[in-house]
Amino acid sequence: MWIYEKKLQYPVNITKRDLAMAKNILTQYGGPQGELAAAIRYLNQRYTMPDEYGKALLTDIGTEELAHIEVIAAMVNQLTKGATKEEILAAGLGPYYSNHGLDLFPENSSGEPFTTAYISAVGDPIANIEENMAAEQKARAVYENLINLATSDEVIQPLLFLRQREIIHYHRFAELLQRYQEMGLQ
Amino acid sequence: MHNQYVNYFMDPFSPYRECNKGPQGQNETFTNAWEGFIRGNLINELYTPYFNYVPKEPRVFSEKDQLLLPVQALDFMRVELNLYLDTHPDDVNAINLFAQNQIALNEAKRRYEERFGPLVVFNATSTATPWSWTQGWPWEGGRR
Repeated sequence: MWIYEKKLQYPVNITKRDLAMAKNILTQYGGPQGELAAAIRYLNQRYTMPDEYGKALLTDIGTEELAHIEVIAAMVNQLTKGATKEEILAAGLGPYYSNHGLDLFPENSSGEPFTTAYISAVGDPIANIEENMAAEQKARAVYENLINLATSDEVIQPLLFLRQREIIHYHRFAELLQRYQEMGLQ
Repeated sequence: MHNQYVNYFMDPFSPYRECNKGPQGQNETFTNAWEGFIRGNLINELYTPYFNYVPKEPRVFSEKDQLLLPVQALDFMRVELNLYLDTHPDDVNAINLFAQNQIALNEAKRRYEERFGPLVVFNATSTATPWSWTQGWPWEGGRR
């Protein structure tokens, strides 16, 4: 089971509204390299890992990704809270607002909705783990794109934190992959 | 770190000091909880800064934020050591560090909860009315 703890993994305190940036960051909520996809992918794959080490790592990284969903959600929420009609229209968020108001909705920055196709699960632990390593690299790259676009330190700091987590997760998956390759799995 | 809300130097057990305890040198496997938390990476050899961006200490808007920071830092260390131990189950140093960190984390949580209520609902042992769990959600941020 999971237990809710009333804290963010990393604090988000955004004092200045920025709807354009919120739209960019939304992709890490519901986009292909987003935290939602990662959390479900890992927690979904863990049941068929070949040994206890794999089950542990997938459970623990998947759980951390749940905390990252919350950090991203907090960023989008704080960047949009109290937005005016003019701000919504200027940021090109009219279509988003028409459908969802200022609720969170998992889609990428271009408005493509979340799809379960992001949850790779092919019944092969090596293929699954290599997929996860690629996903962590792609998520790191997306965080770098977002950092490049950000203008406020209040936004940049949580993104820098989340970028580092992708690096750590990548290396942990690489160690698990090596373990399974040494066991003779292909 | 900032000291505007809690005079932690007067405190015989300081969760802040606990965060900064332990080795920080680049020859060590891990940095301390505070530096690890600020940069999002406890593992010295895996820490890769992005261009010239420098991680900074989070801004603090209230005593509540201030007391929560050591909980976040020590809990970050818990998460990171947990992942590390998943793939290094025989690392005695990391196992000992995990156990020590857990003591500091529990104390930091106790101090926060004493002032600002339960972090998890099963720590809600107070019989004060009204029920406090419903108050104060972490994603709302500081000053608006």
